[in-house]
Amino acid sequence: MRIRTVCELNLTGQMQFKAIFFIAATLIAAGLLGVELNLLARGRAAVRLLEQENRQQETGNDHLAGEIEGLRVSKPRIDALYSRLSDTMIASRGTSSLHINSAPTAPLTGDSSSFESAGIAGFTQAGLIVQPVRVPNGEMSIIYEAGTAGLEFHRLVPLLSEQENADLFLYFDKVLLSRPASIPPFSTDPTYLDTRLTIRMLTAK
Amino acid sequence: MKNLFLSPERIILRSYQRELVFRGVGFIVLIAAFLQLPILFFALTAWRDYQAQSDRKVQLLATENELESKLMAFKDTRQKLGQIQQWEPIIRGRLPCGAVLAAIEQTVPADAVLEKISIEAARFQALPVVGGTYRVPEVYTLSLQGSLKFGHADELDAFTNELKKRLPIGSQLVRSKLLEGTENLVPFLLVYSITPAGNYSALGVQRIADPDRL
Repeated sequence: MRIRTVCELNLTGQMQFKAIFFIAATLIAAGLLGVELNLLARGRAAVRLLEQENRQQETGNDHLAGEIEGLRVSKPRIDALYSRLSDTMIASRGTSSLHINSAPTAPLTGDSSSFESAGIAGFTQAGLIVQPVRVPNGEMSIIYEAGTAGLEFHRLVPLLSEQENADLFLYFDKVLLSRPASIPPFSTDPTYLDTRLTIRMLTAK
Repeated sequence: MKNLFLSPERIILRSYQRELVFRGVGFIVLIAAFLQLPILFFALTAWRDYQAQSDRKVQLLATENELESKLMAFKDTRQKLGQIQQWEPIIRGRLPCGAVLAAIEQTVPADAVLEKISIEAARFQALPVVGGTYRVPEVYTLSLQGSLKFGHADELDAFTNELKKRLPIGSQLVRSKLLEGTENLVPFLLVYSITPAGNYSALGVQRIADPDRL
């Protein structure tokens, strides 16, 4: 009886040992493989990330090269256009001291009023009476109201076109042309229109 | 009792060799060992790829530095281009009023006379410029008041359509109305809404960026 019990105990111990041995071996093998596969996956992910970064860098470099080439090719046009645009801009802004209805033919001296006068010289020379208007806060512009009753339509149109061509930032916020009541319709006499303009020009800082 | 035939070591060894559990463990060890080969292969491949990509990164960064230094030579041009781009919406939003008046002059019928022409900007949008803002209108209203000779009222439609063709794309006729007149004249009123879209070729205006033909 005692021998049998000892044998049973030995058998149970052996079974336990085998089970533990098997499980431990399986776990160790699986763990090792798992760690290796994980490291491999991380490595591949790092390679992919680097590859993606390189692709982005390559795209950025291509973009940069394209920009350089574009700037190189377009440089003369950009310079010319910039000169044309910036030259037309009124150089400074400040309180105006306009000589109303006078032709400012004096050379520009750097004085702000001279610059401003130069901006509307064409209008004053054409005989328009020009009056500065208050500029809204923060706006980089000078605004004038101009009027005349001494220009015919066929003289007014080239004047406006000429001034628009001379200053590409010149805005006519309001143009009002009306035939005087004293002139009947279809009259063959010269018709001097009542002209009212609101002129706005961009100024540099 | 002494075992006369087999030593305990021999029994244990035989047990390791023949029992299913130990065979299973041996199989697992063999599988794990065998799997080391592809893992090693992929690890080497990954390492090689990583090295190649790292080298490429260094090259690309060197190229970028080289390009940046080249770009510095165009700094001035770049600034000018940026400034032009900032001005672009201001120039695009400007309706060439002179050209509009010229278009009216060219399209008005011989039997019509204009009494009042009004072009008025509205719905201003403040755009940022150096030192502040500049207002740019989003819409212009063109109003024409005039008269047609009696019996020529049908010419208003032709005038309306012809003028609309000359106005910038997107212009709309808001109002076209014949008014009560005298025995000789039929007054009319035309109102157009013009959205300044930057393309004024219909008015015969040359693009600013185009070179002068002179």
